[in-house]
Amino acid sequence: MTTAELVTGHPLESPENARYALLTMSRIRKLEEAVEDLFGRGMMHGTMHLSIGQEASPTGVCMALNISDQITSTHRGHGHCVAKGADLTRMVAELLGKENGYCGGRGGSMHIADVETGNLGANGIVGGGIPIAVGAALASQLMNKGTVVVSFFGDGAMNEGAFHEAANLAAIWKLPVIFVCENNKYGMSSSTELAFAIDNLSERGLGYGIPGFTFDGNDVAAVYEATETAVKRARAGEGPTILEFVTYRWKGHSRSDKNLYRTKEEIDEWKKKDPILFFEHVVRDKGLLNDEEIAEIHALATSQVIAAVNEAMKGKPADPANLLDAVFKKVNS
Amino acid sequence: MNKFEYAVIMPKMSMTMEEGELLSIRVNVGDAVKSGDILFDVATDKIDMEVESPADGVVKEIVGQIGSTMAVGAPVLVLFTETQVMSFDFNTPSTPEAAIEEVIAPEADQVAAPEPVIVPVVEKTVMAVPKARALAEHRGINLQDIAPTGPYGTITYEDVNKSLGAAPQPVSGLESRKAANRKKVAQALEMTRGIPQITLSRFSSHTTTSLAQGSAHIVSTWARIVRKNTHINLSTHDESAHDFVGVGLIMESKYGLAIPVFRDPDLSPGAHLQEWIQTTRVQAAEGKVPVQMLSGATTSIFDLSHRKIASAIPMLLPSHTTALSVGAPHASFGESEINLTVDLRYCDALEAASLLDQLIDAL
Amino acid sequence: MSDRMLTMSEALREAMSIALEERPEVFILGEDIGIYGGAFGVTGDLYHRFGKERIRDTPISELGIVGAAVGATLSGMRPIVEIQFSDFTAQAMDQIVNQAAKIHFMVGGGLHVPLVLRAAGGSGTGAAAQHSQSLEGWFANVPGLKVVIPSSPYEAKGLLLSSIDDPNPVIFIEHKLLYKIPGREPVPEGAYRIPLGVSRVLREGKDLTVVATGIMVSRVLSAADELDKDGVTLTVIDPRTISPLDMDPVYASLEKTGRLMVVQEAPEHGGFLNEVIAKVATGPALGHLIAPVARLAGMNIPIPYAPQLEKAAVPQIPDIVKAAREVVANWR
Repeated sequence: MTTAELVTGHPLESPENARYALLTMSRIRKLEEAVEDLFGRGMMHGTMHLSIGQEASPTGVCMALNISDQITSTHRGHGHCVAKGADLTRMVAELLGKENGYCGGRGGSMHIADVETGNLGANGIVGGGIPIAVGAALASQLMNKGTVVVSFFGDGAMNEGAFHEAANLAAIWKLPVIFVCENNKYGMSSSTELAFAIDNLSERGLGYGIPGFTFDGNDVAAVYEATETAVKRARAGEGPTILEFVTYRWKGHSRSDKNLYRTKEEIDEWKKKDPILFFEHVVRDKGLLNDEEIAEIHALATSQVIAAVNEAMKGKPADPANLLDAVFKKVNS
Repeated sequence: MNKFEYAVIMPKMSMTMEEGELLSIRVNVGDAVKSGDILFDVATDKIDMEVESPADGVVKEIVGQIGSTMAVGAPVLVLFTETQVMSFDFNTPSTPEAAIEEVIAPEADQVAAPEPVIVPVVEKTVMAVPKARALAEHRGINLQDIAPTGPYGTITYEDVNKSLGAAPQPVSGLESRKAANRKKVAQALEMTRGIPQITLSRFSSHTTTSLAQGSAHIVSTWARIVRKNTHINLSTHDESAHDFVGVGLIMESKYGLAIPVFRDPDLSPGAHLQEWIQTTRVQAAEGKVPVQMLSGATTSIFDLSHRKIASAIPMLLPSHTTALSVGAPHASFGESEINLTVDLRYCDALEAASLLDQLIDAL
Repeated sequence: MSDRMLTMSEALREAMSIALEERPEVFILGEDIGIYGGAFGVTGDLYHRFGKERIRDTPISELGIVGAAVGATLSGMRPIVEIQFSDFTAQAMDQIVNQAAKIHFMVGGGLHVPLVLRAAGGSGTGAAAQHSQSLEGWFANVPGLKVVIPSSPYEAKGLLLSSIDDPNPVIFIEHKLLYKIPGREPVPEGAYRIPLGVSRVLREGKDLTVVATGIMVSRVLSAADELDKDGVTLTVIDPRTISPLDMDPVYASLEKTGRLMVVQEAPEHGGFLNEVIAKVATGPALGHLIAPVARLAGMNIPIPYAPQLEKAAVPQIPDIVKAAREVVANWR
């Protein structure tokens, strides 16, 4: 059993919610560590972008969404996938190029989508998912579905034309979309200080008539609360919101990153703001979970990830024989 | 409390990296390390990288040698860690890439491409449109004999058509195929004309059995002789020995001569071989010889025993070392003439005489 | 009313109107397609008939529009995007090439993109280099996209309805000179569908097989009329969709004529019809050729402005007549 029952609601509302939030963040981190290990051993093809240190944002956001709500994700998308409820085994199988992976080995790390959990897909193009999220929100509006779409993207995507065109369309049509900017301070090596002339990236909303707010992206409760408010606005037909969650990626952009553009001190400083440790402190203080329960949750996440990797390894390698059939969907199917 | 053992490995750091050099190790056995501390430095052809500790812990053991080149995945040092670090040593070389390559790789035991038995004679390049070329070939016309009228000195379709005469006789498909086949056989024989060769002749009284068995007897007997005499059972391309015996048996087909190759006929039981030859005769008559029977011969047999032809000088086909012919039994004394032609590069005249003796003794 | 002669604008509008009535998930979005009726008047009165929700005017944001359409398909809609000039697809290329074309494949089949992108292409209106290109070859080189080029009002209506039905992204390129010209054949009322990936033999002759797309089809047909007078007869084949491409009628025709000419407006270098030539050169029909393949295409230059320059840049009827005559006369 590598998928979790989705729990929605405030992470601090009950011990169950706290447990779910911690488990989700722990699953994301353990999965990323597993991915790093598999890549390091040469068992994974291509490249991978790890979100260690950023677990609070996907977790808090997705706890404010229903299963029928949709997300679009990014190249650093493993966390979004997990938080929206994806199956860990099928995720790992995809990374290993197996037939039973989410994309049958055709997409890999940057293209995992999961229709059942409303995940419209990670995206290898910076900003590529933003107009798509707006379109999904347009469909929701046209069909009166009452669903909300969250577009996850990083700070780098805010300087892509796609963001600007999509934000404007969402604003003029009052679409039920939430732009979640996970500002992890660097677009590969370009810091937000170099790439932006504003302090808070959420200020970009001003130019489009979209309310924008900036929050601590390592505080899962704060992320949840912000998203919850934006979701209410969206469902009420009041249009889009821009949420900037400030966070930090502990690992390099991809594996070949030597961290030349930032200091070890800065990385250490952010590691002290570990979203998982922070949440553990809060739930302990509030008496929601004790040390023993916290340890159990991490052990459960660890065993789930190990089971997923072992299970995924058993999968059949994807077969080139049916590659041509996969390009087009058959007419009338 | 450090309860988990974890091996820090030579990490894969780029899409193409397979191994890395261990530049330095920054810790000693017994050192306490924090998550993020640098443990060692690694160099690849592309980049140098510092490898960090994935968790808090203590250095238990150092495995890697400074200055050595290590494969991706090889352990460099071992830690005792406080938390369990994700680690998956499946200890198999089958990476996903390797697995995919396996699927793509061609099957090892595929049959080698058939050797061309008949190689067209190379002529001077002639410019002609494709359809003119096709017409010329079907009608047995040498394009060199045609004066081109098309642009760039190219022979047009009309040029070939005109060369057939003012009112060209329509030629049936069968006739043109026959002509083409004739031409190909002639071209093939032309290629072996320069090979030093000798033809020896002996009478044999085997013929009655042979007739009854429709060539099976002579085919299997000759195959046994060829198998024993490895110097004539080889490839004339690279002189590598054949690990089978291929005997071409000249037959009639609707397009003229056909030479299907029987592989290891001496290993087939007599009745079986007889049936095999008979089936092939029927197929050849319809112009359909199985593809796998089109190559691999080092010898040929022209069996004329069922016709009233006394003898024929057998001619070497390209890549063959020997050729055999069997004539009809003499009307009065019943023996028939067997002729053997050999390629003298592989078999001298005395060896040829011995081969013929062996054959007739065996018959 | 089987003799109705429509312009391509009218035929396209009729197709969209049928689709809008048949399927609630169909909607149109684009710049100035609403009350203005479209830059070339194709959407016309649809705005008044179907309302602003379904005939959705957008800001000038090609990337945003196409991206929104892609996203809408993932949620069950069937959008038709109108891009005023196919040249502007350059603004939207990420969403067309990296997203729409690849999503179905990349995610392993779980999602698909039933999107139609209509765009006006081609020269002849004096709009010069940035509003006159024939870019179909770009899209034909991207696996995952279907590329349709209607050559007449009749074709346009039937092909557009099939494109809307198709579960894959379809790039539908309309030559702007065809919008206002009545076609050579009547357009039936009501719905009819022309399957994608089936070439049409418009005329059969004995001397030369001509493959042409879009506006060039009508020019080739006019050239064929003229050549008829000299006793030179053409087989004219319109592939209608260049991706997927149906070559069988071309092969069959070459068996009879032995001569092939391709005619396109796009620049010769790297142009799509080179693919037709390549397929003949590497395929079953090579042995039928009695002449080298003739190729008529746009010059390898940006489309110029002045009318005489613009005309000179792309094949015209006399060019086709001359080239056809030459290939038939020189190669017999």
